[in-house]
Amino acid sequence: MASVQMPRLSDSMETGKILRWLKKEGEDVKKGEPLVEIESDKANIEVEAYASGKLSKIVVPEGESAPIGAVIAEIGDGASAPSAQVPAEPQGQAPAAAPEQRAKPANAEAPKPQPTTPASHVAQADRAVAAAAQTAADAGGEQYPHGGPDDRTEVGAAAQAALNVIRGPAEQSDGERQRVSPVARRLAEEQGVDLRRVQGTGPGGRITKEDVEAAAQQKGEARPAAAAPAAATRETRPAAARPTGEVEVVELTKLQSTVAMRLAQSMFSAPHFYVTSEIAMDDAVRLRQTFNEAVDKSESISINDLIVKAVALALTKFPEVNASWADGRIERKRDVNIGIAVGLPDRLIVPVLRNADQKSLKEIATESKQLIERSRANKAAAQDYLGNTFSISNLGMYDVDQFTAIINPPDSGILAIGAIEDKPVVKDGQVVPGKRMRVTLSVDHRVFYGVTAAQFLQEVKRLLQSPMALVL
Amino acid sequence: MAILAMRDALNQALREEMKRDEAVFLLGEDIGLYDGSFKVTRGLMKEFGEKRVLDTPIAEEIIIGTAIGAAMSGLRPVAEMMTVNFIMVAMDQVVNAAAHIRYMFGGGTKVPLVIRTPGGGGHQLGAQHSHSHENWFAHVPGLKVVAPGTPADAKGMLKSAIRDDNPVMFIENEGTYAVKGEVPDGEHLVPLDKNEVKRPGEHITICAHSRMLIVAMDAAAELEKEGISAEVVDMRALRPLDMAPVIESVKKTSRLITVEEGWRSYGVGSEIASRVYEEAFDYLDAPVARIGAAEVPAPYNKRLERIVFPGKADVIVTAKALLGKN
Repeated sequence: MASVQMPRLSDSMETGKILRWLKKEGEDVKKGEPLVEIESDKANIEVEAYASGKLSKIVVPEGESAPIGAVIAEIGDGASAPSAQVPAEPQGQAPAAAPEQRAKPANAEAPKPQPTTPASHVAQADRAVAAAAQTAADAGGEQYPHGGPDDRTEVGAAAQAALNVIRGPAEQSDGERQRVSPVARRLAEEQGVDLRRVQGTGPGGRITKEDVEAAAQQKGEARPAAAAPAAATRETRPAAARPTGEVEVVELTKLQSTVAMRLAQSMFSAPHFYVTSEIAMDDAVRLRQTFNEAVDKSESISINDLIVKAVALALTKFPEVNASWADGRIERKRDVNIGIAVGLPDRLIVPVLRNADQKSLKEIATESKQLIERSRANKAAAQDYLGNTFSISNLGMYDVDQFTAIINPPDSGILAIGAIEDKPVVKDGQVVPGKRMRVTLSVDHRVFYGVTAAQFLQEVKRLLQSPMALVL
Repeated sequence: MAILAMRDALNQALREEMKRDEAVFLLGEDIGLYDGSFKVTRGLMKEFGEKRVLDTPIAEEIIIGTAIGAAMSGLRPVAEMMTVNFIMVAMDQVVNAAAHIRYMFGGGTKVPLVIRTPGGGGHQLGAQHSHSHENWFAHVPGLKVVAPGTPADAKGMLKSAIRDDNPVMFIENEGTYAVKGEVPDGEHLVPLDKNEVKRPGEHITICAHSRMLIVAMDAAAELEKEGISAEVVDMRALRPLDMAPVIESVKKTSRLITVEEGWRSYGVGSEIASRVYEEAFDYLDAPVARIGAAEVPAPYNKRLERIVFPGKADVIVTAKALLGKN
């Protein structure tokens, strides 16, 4: 008995439709005689019998469809040779190899010879392919109609070139140049990680993002403990033990280079002059206390917030101060965006508080807190640093009387804030205790002049000395 | 929403556009009486008649030349090249005529032409019939080039291509015609210039188009089992090349694999890698890995052929290597 199976008649065929049986049930069929006409997805094809015998049963009647490999008829009188079982071979196609052979690497041991006749070997292979196609079709879509399912597990030539690149040349640790991925290099710069101390774990020993992150974390953890012994060593180390002329070279991070370049450019192209004023801060300090007692700690305001607000309001009255030197012209800005200088151990950054003149004290306080936190955590977005029209640098918390700051381009002014000092002041002819703060305005003399600078400072002073105006 | 094979999704797009606009007509070899070599045009000659579905001689240059003339005269031809391998004899028409005419006439005439053609190898058809040439066309200003990898995109992009006023190379793949997927009914338009994330992930980005999209999706599913989360970006829009989702993805994952069925050299992956080096260099944690066919004329031998064309095993091993996991 031989089964006639639905043959694969085209590359992309999934099922075939029986158009016409050319023999009736019970009729004799000779091998090679036309047996059935089948419609594939491409064409109608007459299929020959691959075995001789009686067409004992038609399983799939005319007009119905069956998937590749399904039994569509039985031929046989019990005396058929095994070769009679060979199903129709796809036209114009070489017999497909069995999937289990395909899965092996091309250079693997040759499969052991099977004790089968060539014909039955082919039949098995074809059945396996048909079964695989059937499974794929059942699963809702035949994805690889030509090669059978994608069961290759060994690496093909397709991946080899990419792998060679990834794994890199065997020789590499010549000590000359470290392998560092671009993202790792950038992160290391941002976080102040010394790459010479980082062991790369990536392919070929490359330092990866993860390696830098781990190093940065370690550094963060180690810092407080390491600081104390270092200071102690510095004091106790005998001067004689130090070789003379020893110089420690510190490489700049990219950010440090940028800061250096911009400040030098500002200092050497903008002619600076400075105007200092002392401001009575008694009322401002009281206002802050009253305010902070009334609100939750998270909403508390700082002296700096009051200064930001006072400066922003003063700038709306002095558009000539809220301006930039632009190639022989002056650009006056409508927006009042205050840059707040934030000093960190390894860098200087100036996040920008936008439209400060239109914001309430509470908004200024909350927003600048977030901005400064983001900057410290290195999570600020590019726009957090853009658009400043005037800047403030405050060293008051470091007990500084007064200082001069370098203008932060493209601004034309920066206000340097000293500490609030308790000192004797003369009021109505009496010496009384007072709280005084010195501020110094640096001015780009190309953009505005001494009188404007003085008047601007007067306005800042007026606002801080009558601080209720800041709350309104 | 119906589940359709790719060929039927394309057929639906052609039928809908031919009904919508009488200017749309088809021409190509064996597309009418024989229903097309891959049955994409099945039933269309019967439905729309011999004036709108033209069986042509086996002469690719004449097919495209005719289509260009028709397009310049106000019709909207959809020419079928039986496979992309046969278009090489018509390259003069595609590049020198179709792509450039609108520019050379100062915009005075347009060429609203679609050339549908399947590429791809792996079917034991030998070196001459196993090409993927999308990069050739994507090199040429004046052409739009798309290569969808799902039935829904195939329908939506073909409809958009037919409505576009420029020549569109619509690259199909012999290995995906039977791939099934959900296809929205009726008016479903997919833009020709938008690539998209087909599977979100965290650790690595895989870019692929056409049949390799399926390979990439399969590889991503396998990688997931090993704890590697791969983001797959479908590069269906090759010219203009929409890099936005790739750049965004690389900024997140820092690692990129490109997969294409054609050769690597001067390929789609080369262009993607260059753009990533230009736009996201500081986000990369490893060199971009390009997977493509081995640099040989495709062999006929089944086993050799399987090694030459990329499969999911290649993507998986490359992903792990990029992550330093093997």
